[in-house]
This record gives sequence, structure tokens and C-alpha cells, in this order.
Amino acid sequence: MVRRGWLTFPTAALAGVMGTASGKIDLPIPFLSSLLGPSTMPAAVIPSLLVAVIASGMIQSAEMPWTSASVRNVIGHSVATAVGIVLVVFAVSSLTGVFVDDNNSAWLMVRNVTGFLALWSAAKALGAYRFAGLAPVIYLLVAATFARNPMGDVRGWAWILGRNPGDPWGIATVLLGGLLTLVYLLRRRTLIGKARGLGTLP
Amino acid sequence: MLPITRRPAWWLLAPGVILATLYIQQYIPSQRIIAHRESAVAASALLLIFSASLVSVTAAMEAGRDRASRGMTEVSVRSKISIVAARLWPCLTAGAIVQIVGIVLLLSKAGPTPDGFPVLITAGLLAALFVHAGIGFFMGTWLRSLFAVPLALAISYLWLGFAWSFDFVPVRYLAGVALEGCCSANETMDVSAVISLMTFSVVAFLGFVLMATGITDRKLTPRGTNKRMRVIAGITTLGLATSLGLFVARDIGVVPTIPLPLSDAECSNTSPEVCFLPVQLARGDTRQVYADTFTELAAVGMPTIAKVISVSGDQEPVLSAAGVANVVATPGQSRSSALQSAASTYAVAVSEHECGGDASPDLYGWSEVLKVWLVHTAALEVLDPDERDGIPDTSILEGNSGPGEMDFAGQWEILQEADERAQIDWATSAFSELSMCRVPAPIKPGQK
Amino acid sequence: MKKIDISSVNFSYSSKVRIFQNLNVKFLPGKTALLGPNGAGKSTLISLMASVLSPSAGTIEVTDSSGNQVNSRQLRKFRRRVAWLPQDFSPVAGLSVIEHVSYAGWLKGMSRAALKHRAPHAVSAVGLEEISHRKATELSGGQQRRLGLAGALVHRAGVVLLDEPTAGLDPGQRERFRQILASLNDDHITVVSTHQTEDIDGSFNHVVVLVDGSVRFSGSVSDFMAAAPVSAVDPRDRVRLAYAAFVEGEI
Repeated sequence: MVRRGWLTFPTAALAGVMGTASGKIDLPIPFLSSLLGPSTMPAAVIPSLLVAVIASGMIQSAEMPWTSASVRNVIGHSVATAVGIVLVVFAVSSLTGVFVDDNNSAWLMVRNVTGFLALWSAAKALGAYRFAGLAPVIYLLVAATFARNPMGDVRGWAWILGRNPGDPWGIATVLLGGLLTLVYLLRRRTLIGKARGLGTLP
Repeated sequence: MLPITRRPAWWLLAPGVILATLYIQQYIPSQRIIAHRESAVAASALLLIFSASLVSVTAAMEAGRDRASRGMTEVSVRSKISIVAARLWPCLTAGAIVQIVGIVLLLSKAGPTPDGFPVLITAGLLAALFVHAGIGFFMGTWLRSLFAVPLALAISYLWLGFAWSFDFVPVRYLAGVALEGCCSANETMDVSAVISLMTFSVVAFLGFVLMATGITDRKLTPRGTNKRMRVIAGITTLGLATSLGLFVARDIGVVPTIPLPLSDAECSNTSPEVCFLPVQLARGDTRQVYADTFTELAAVGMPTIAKVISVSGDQEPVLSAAGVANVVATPGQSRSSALQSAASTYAVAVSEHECGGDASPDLYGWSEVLKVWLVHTAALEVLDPDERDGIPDTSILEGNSGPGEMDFAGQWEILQEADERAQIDWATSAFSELSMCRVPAPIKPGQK
Repeated sequence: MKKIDISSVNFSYSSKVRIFQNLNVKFLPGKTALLGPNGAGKSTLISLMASVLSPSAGTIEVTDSSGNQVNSRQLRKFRRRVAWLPQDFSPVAGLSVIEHVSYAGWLKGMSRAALKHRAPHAVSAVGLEEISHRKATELSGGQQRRLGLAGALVHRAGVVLLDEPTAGLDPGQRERFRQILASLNDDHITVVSTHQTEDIDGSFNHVVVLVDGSVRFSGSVSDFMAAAPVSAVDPRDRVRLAYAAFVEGEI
């Protein structure tokens, strides 16, 4: 389920265009660059993050408290919507890639958006409720700040800063998010904290 | 009368302090800020990523609490300012605590310093938090917490993270992180950078709050008097904040510093006279090493130095015609590195000559050979044997010698095998040739 | 003489939905039941009197016992004299019951010192003293409504506006509310919008019936009940029938 699908899916499409159009650009990020060497992140991370935050908010706001009693699998619908959003991003990115001669950015966008949505879903499953959308942003902030070890190498867990769509750390993040969501679905209550059922209770 | 406890800012204070501490421990080495308070406080600009994020997230949460309620704030008789203040003071206080803890840790890393506490830079960094409070408050008033909180954090981070590398340099000083470029021991912060940051942050905060109050009222007043003017005034204030900030920062370069005047320097009674700034002398006085090195190198035919200074920027050339050498002196510099800094002066001076586009690429390699020789020669006279570890350092020569190119490492070997007189003759001739952008003749094997 | 005077008020949410056109009505000291079917404009009228909404034309004035008049456009002065409990009251997250009431009082301009005494008093007046340290958002629906009432009453306003305070409450909670209402000072102007006509006799002094944005009746409870047929003996029946008479034109 999603609220304001008319906004969410076009946002995903726009992010697909922007992410692919800027796919080859690396943005400098704040580090002590003089000591650790220049630090960058792919520009496509930004549209990926924005689409993930907007989509996750729209999906979560459709999960009203009363939907916990629904005979339909509300969370299952939400997961399906998230998958739909990723597919839109991929389709639009692939199409844009044809025009800007970039075959890799579509996969990179898929990795980023899926990873961010997995982090949101994991946070929701753990009981972060209306603050679950913070998880992808906090991950990006921490990755961008602490990614480099003192030798200047990028740490594995900061996969968002790399350009490998098949990064094992990225895949692990998605799998972990999927697993936690599955447990949440089966238990029908969050893994940590008070039992508040599904939905966006205060 | 909101309670002091049960505020989101206090929950996030500990994670903010922990992240800032970890960042300092991992990424800000003490040699960068040693004996220099101004540099230590300026380096804390990087911690805005944590303190400002804390402020914007908690401001969005606080605003979201009033937004989600019904029946209280709509009929308030308190001024908007007092409600905003009641909501935001814990956010700003928690952010300020993170920033101040960072500053204290950095100052302890810097150790005792001769310079005073930079109140203005500290005030600037704390003022920078206001704009993030404004961002959070506006987002929290405008959108549901579900969107407002993550978007407030994202906007704060993106502003801090990307404004600092804008090609249009004055924009960098509006965000504040670029203040971390201050300062070497012979520099001080350009006050314009801090004023620009403070002006923008405080005025933009007012703009965001105005927009937020306009939006609140529109939600509650269905027709006609929807305070659209406040939103327009808020946007105009944001524009004004940006214009003012950019105007103040218009003349600042990529680094927000200005050189300290030489009049602040303390001069030695040596010959040549060596004048260093108090911060440069804070961890040991190496002026005698500089004087001895220049004396020894003058004895082997290098130009005589009358005065040694250490000032920043383009103000002074590395080696002037009047015999003034401008060296790089840092606090805590060892005798060995002081000697290398002094002896390198001649080679750096010739390598910095403008030789035009058709100059030989070998000029740089030869200037490096000359540098290694000067350092080695001076070290033998000035340093004790146990201070000469790593001298001569020929690694740079190996890097300069590619296949089919001049073998500078090999030339160094040949030079070493020559007798003392021949070495001196080669060095004086090489210095003279390089000064005129000409490639010195290769050293002949077995030259005695 | 204390009163709220609504004169020639026009109000509409959009150009298509006109709520009031030249509305004139007075509210006097004592408890007034504001009756009317859904969509009659009761909540809008209460919101206008609370200065949450502003009329596009006309005036809303409160006159105190000394004869001083304050117009609803003089926002601060006006709001100090008015307490409001909306139908969809929702507490501020992160506050306990006592903190919530203190915050409500602070928003109404009360000092910290005054709130130290008044807030616990207001909390006990609505019977929440035993759970005064519980989080406001964790209260039941009825308790939250009482919390809202405590917040509205804490600054001792001369005008108390309650918008369907008992809607959706169970009989026990409704009875509790009735007791609280009964305890309110009759020197004050209390306006309660309600659909529950059975409590009118005995609980209220005046009745105003609003239908389609117009006042169909404004007067004392006895005058209101006089509209019912003389055959109806039970006061509850008389109120019900009188209401039907004004709203639907049937007896």
C-alpha cells in the first residue's frame, strides 16, 4: 500500500533519471582530505536516498493503525509497493542509460534504493515506527563520515560509497532487511519495544 | 512551560558526543593542531556534521509534537518567538554541548598553546547550529514526522557535506565546515569567513521560522488570512541571508585564512637572524638549527641568507633577492626536519621559478637531486649522528626516474662518489643553472 | 453584563461552501447547549468563538463583568478570556498529564509560579490526579478528553467552549463529564456543542439551536422545552421533541 502514489512513483522515475544522468559524477564529501586523500561518493546516492525517504514515508503512512486488523496482508502490500518502486527506478534508469551511454548506473540505483529501503524496513521491524525513515539517512551520514580507516581505505560496510552493484556488503544489507521484515510479518509485532502492532502508531 | 526532561535532544546527546569523540580520535591527528588553539577550534568545524544533525533532527521532532497535537497551540497567547524558543532551546543546547565537547577534546589534543582562545570562531560554529534548528523546525511544522525527521537530517547533511566543495567559493563559508581549513602556525582565521557564517545562519534561521509560522497558521485558518505573507517574508529572509553571507565572504579564497604579520614574530640573536611566530616556537626552539644550516650551506657556495622568516602565502617568496628565506616551520618540528626545511629552501626556490611551458621536465628532477645533496651536506655538519636517520632520503629520486628518462637516483650515486670539491662545484653550478631554467650538465662518473 | 456577542458574522471555508451568512447570536453566563444536526456549523461557530478561525465579516466580542469589551481580532486579549476544547483534541506527545496541563496554561500566558498551584488543581478537577505522571499519549480516549478539559480550564477563563466533549465516550465517562460540567461556575459563559439532548434539562441554562448556519432558537431551557407538545410529560421527551421541532419542523 502507498499513499499518494501519484507523487511516489513519479518521484521514483525522476530519481531514476537524475541518478543515471549524474551516474558518472563523484561528489567530494567532508573528510580531512589532506591527510586521507580525496573522498567522494557517487552522485547517484543523493536521488536514491531522497526517493527511499519519500517512498518509505508514503508506504508507512498508508499503514494506518486500523489496518492491523485487516484480513489483507498490509505489510505484504507495502513490500510489493517497495519492489514496484525499485522496478520503476530500474526501468527509468535503464532507459535514461541508453541516452547518456551509461549501462552501470541503473544497477547502482537499484542497489542504492533497495539497500536504503531494506534499512528502513529493518528499522521498522525493530520498532523504530515513525522514525524508521531515519535509518537510511543515518547510515549514509555514518558511512560518509567514518568510511575510511586511518590508512585511507574505504571500509566494506560503507558500500554506499562504492560503485560495485554486486557489493557483498550491500547484498548482505538487503538480505538482513528482508529477513527482519519477514520475522516482523510472521510475528505481527515489532522485534523490540512495546507491542504496538502494525502501522504508524504514535 | 515545557519540561526540561523528556526532550528528544537529550536522548540523542550521548550518541552525538560519542560519534564526535570517535571522529576526533580517528581522523584529527594531533600534529595538525598542536600548540595552536585557533587551529584546534577551527578543526572542530568538521564536527558540525554531528552537532548540526542532532539539532535539525530534534528540532523536527519538537515541531512535530506541536504539529500532531490539537487544541493547544492554536489558541496560544504566547508569541511565536517564545514558543519556538521553548521548543528549540534543548536542541540548540544539545548541539552546542556536542560542539563544545569536541572543542575541548581538540584543545586537549593541541596541548599548551601560546595563542588565546578563539572566541569568535567558537561563536561562529555555535551560530551555525541555528540554521539547522530552523531547517528542522520548518520541516517538522510543514510535514508529518515520518517525512520531516529523515528529510531534516538529509537536508542538514547535504548542506554541510556538499556546500564545502562548491566551485563558487563564498558558498562554502555559509555552511561552516570549510572553516576547518584554518590554520597553519603562521596563519589566522579570516574574520570575514566567520562573520559570513554567523550572518547567514542567524538570518536564515529567522527565515525558516517565519516560513514555519506562516505554514502553521495556514493550516488553521482556512480562507483569506492564511498568513501567506509570512511564508513570503520567510523566503525573502532566506534570500537576504544568502546574499548577506555571500557578500561578506566575497573576497575569501579556498582557505579561510590570512597570514599573521611578521611583527608578531620573535627573532633570534643568531646570524642569520631567524624570526618565528610564538606558535612555531611553542614546542621547542629550532631557530639555531635554521641559522646553522644556512651558515653551513653559505660556506659551500649557496647564496648567503640574511634573515629567516616563516610566513604564509604569496606574501614572501621562498628566497628573496635580499637574502630573506621563507621556510616552513611548524610547532614540534624536530631538529632533523628543521634542517631539512632550511636546506630545501634553495631547491624549492629554483623549482618554483616560472620557466614557461617549454621548459625541460628534467628541471624538477635535478632540483630534487640538489635538495638531497643540500640536506645531506648540512646534516653532516649540523646534526648529531643519531639525528640523521632517514638522511639522505632518495626515495623521491627513484620516483622521478622512469624508463628512458634521466636516472636521477643514479646521478645521486655518481655525485656521492665524487670528491668534496667536485660535489660543491656541481651544487653551486646546478643552483645557478636551475635558477636560469637551464638543465644542469649530468655528473660525469669518476669526477674528482 | 458578561456575554459573547456575535454580530453579522460571515464565514466560509471556500467560495463554494458558505457556513454563516449574517449570523447574530448572544451567549450569556451559565451553561449553554449548542444543538444542531451534523454540518449545522456548531464546530465552526465554536472555533470562531475560540478565535481559531476568523470571520470574513462581522464581529465576535466578549464583554466581561465590568463591561470591558474585547474583539476576537485582538487575539491575545481575547484568547486569555476563552478556553477551548476541540472535538478532535489530541495531546502533545512527550508530556505527562501534569506537564501537559502546565504547558496548556503556559501557552495561555500563565506564569510558572501560578501554574505550580493551578495545574495540579485543574488535574484533580477532572479526576486525573492519580495518573498525573502518566504520559498523555498513553491515556484512553475519555481520559484524553478530560486532559484537554483540564488544559482548557487551567487558566480560569471566563468563557469555556467545549466542542462535543462527550462524543464517543462510554456511559461512565459521560457521567463523569457531566459531573465536571456541573461543577463549572455558572458566573462563566460555558458553551457546549452536543448531540446528546437527554442531558439538557438539569445540566444547562440556555439552548441555542443551529441549523444550516442559522440560529433557529436561542433562549432558556424552559422556553426551549415549551416548544414540545404539552402531551409530552417526561422532560427528556420534551427536549427531544422540542429539538425535532426546531430542526426538522416535526413534533
